[in-house]
Amino acid sequence: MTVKTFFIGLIASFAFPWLVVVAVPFAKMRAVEIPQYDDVADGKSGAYTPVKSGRVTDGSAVYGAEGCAQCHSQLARPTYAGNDLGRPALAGIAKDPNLGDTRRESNLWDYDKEPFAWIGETRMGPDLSNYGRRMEIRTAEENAKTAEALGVKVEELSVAQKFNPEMAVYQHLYNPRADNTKSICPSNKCFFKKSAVKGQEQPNALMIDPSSELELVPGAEAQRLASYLLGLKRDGEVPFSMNYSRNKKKATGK
Amino acid sequence: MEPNLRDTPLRRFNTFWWGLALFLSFAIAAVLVKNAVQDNVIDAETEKGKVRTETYNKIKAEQLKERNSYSDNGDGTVKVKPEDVFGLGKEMGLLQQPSASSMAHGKKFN
Amino acid sequence: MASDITSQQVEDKVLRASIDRSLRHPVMFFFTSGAAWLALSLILGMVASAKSHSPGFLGDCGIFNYGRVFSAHMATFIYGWAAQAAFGTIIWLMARLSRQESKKSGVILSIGHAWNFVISLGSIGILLGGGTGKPWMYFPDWVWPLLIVCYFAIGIWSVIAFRVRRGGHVYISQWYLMAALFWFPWVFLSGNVFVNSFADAGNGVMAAGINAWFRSAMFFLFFTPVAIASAYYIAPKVTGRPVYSYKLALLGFWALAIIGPWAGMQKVMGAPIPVFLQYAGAAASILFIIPAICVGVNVLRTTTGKSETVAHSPSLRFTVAGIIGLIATAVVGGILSHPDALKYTQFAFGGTYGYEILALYGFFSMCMFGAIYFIVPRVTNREWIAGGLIRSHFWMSLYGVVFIGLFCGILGAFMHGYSLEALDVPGEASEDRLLAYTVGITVGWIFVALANVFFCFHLLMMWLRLGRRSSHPTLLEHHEPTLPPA
Repeated sequence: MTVKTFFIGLIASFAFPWLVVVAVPFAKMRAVEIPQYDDVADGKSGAYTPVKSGRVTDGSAVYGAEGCAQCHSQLARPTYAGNDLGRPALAGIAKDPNLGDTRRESNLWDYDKEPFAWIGETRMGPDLSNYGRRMEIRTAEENAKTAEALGVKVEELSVAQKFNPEMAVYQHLYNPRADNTKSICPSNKCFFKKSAVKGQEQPNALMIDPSSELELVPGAEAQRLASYLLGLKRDGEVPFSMNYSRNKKKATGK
Repeated sequence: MEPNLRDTPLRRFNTFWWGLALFLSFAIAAVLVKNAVQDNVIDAETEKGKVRTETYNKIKAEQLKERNSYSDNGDGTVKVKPEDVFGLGKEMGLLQQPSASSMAHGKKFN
Repeated sequence: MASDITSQQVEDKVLRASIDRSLRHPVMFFFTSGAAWLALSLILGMVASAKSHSPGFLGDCGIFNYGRVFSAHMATFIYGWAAQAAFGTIIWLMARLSRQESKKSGVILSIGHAWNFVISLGSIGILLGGGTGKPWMYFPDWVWPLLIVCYFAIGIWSVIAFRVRRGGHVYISQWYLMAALFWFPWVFLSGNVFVNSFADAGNGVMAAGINAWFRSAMFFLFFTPVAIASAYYIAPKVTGRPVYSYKLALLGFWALAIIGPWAGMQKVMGAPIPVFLQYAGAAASILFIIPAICVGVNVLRTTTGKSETVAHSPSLRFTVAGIIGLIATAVVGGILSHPDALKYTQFAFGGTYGYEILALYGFFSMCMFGAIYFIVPRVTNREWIAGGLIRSHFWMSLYGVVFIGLFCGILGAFMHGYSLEALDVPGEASEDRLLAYTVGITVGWIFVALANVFFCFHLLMMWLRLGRRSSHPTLLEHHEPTLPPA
């Protein structure tokens, strides 16, 4: 083998897969056409642009830097790749009281505005694609319980009596073993600052101990992360053309 | 030891720069690939805005049609035909010169 | 016998000695700093592993949080130990095979220091929460451009050495080294450019896919060829026999070149990226067995019948173990990448990590240890102090990596993975299953760390020129006569 043939071979054997697997997919994926709703099948028109709540880009950066993706995945795999659609509350809610079965595979727009999709390494902890939805359900359940205990309607509960999902996230970030003693999630105590209570407590502070005059104020990273986590709701509706559920029906019945 | 005829400063120099160029080749290719696709990059905001912009433009055009003509002086002012501004007032009879009223007023002055 | 030594042989010896002397400082620097990073990486690995089953270990300080410590562990392992061991081996081996003294040792040594400085800052950055979290690209964003610049200044001299080599046949190791020298910047630079520089100009899911390609390509196209080059050099050198089949060697090389760049995206199977990318990755990972078998057969056949030499020579023993590790890596990787297995192992604990450790330690590091045990005496002109230290290093490494890679990596991947997939097993139950395997990995790392205490100590002694002055190499076993004297 001459040096010339070596280089030709090396460059060719690398350039072809590089183009096919890395470069061209990168170029195409950055300009993907946005799916459109169809009047006939969906009963409405317009682009499929799901609105995301929370601090997606900031929060995603904190999520990455803390290595959350090492233990948590964020991917509801289609059936050719796994059973995620059947796992409880992973891909959506199987029996949502209002919406029915909301489970679906992850699609490209679920990761919109995140420069790097945190698909994840392992599932040492639960998949977080629908963490925000699970917190929504939990909020409703907790409010219902409190309302029943107090003998009032849920709508009549005061803000202080209602379950605050953001505080629950802060509690988990501060000490995951408070809710679940077997959790191996790291404590992110460094995200919180102990400070003296001055007058009234800060609205988003965790109380350490009512008798001590100290409260834990979540710092910027904690706020971004909590906002990001609570925004993880990936079971919304999709256009008929992208709907792979067995029970899909066209909106107009045609 | 025989002298190594391949080892010349020119050869070393050439190899250095060609080697560097070859090292960088796929990075340069990456930049070229990215720049080759510029036009189609659509983001959700623009897409969402399309319907909104269409509606806005449609309504604005219709409103403009109904609005009377004017010409733009270019310095922030427009030139309008008086009847376009005052047309309604004219219809209501509000633009005549004031004339003495034929109605007596109630108060009597000495 | 003295009278049979020709003037050519004397010249060769002088040339070899001058090559070794010219490279002493950079090579020893890369090996010793690499070993130090290995030690640090193993400590971080033990801490990370301990945190995965005992989160309260070392308190609640953010620096020791699993996510950060694990990222630092892998980053220091890959860029601190593995890359520097590779650099030391590349520059020495290419110089020897091209019969070129190095004239740029000073430059290489300075850049080596710069490399260490950059990754030190980068590792501290990760522990303080500034890392990116992207697998194999863990360092903060400003690190990778500096690393690639350092790489240019280290690698280009070996390319030049090859180009101006004294005439004659090009040996298979030189082809592997040249390929590695070019593959590294092609993969590292384009991977980082697509994933990091173009982070806001590309699609996040595709970035994750390219990251998966990057990890696989860094292993298949840089670490693998360097280790293979070393094995192809050491096996014939130490046994005194030619490589079993040169044609097979070339076949193996081109098989690696053709198959390697396709692999990687099976890691994101099921993600919303084109399906052919996922399956191409899986297929290539399975097909990696082809180049692995070519190399395995070649190297092991070269040493057939020389089991005494393999047992006695530290460098050959580690190299042969490394090549067996290569075959194990290829087989395990193929099993784990098969789409049907991926359902279970994709997100299972150990499905990726166990495989990566088997690949990076069981194959690559074992070959590098073989190279280091061969090269260091030659560049320092001293022999290793005690065969016992080398033996401990060998057996504890082997035990640790087999435990981690096969037991926790494979068994753990399938056992945990099954519980994740089975529809009737709740999440909490699958989390319970983890315990055995996370504890197992901690134990495995403790063995590996102990092994490397011996290694680091021994290498440090050599660096301080406290090795034995002897004309006999340090061997691992005493040669007992098996036949009574006639």
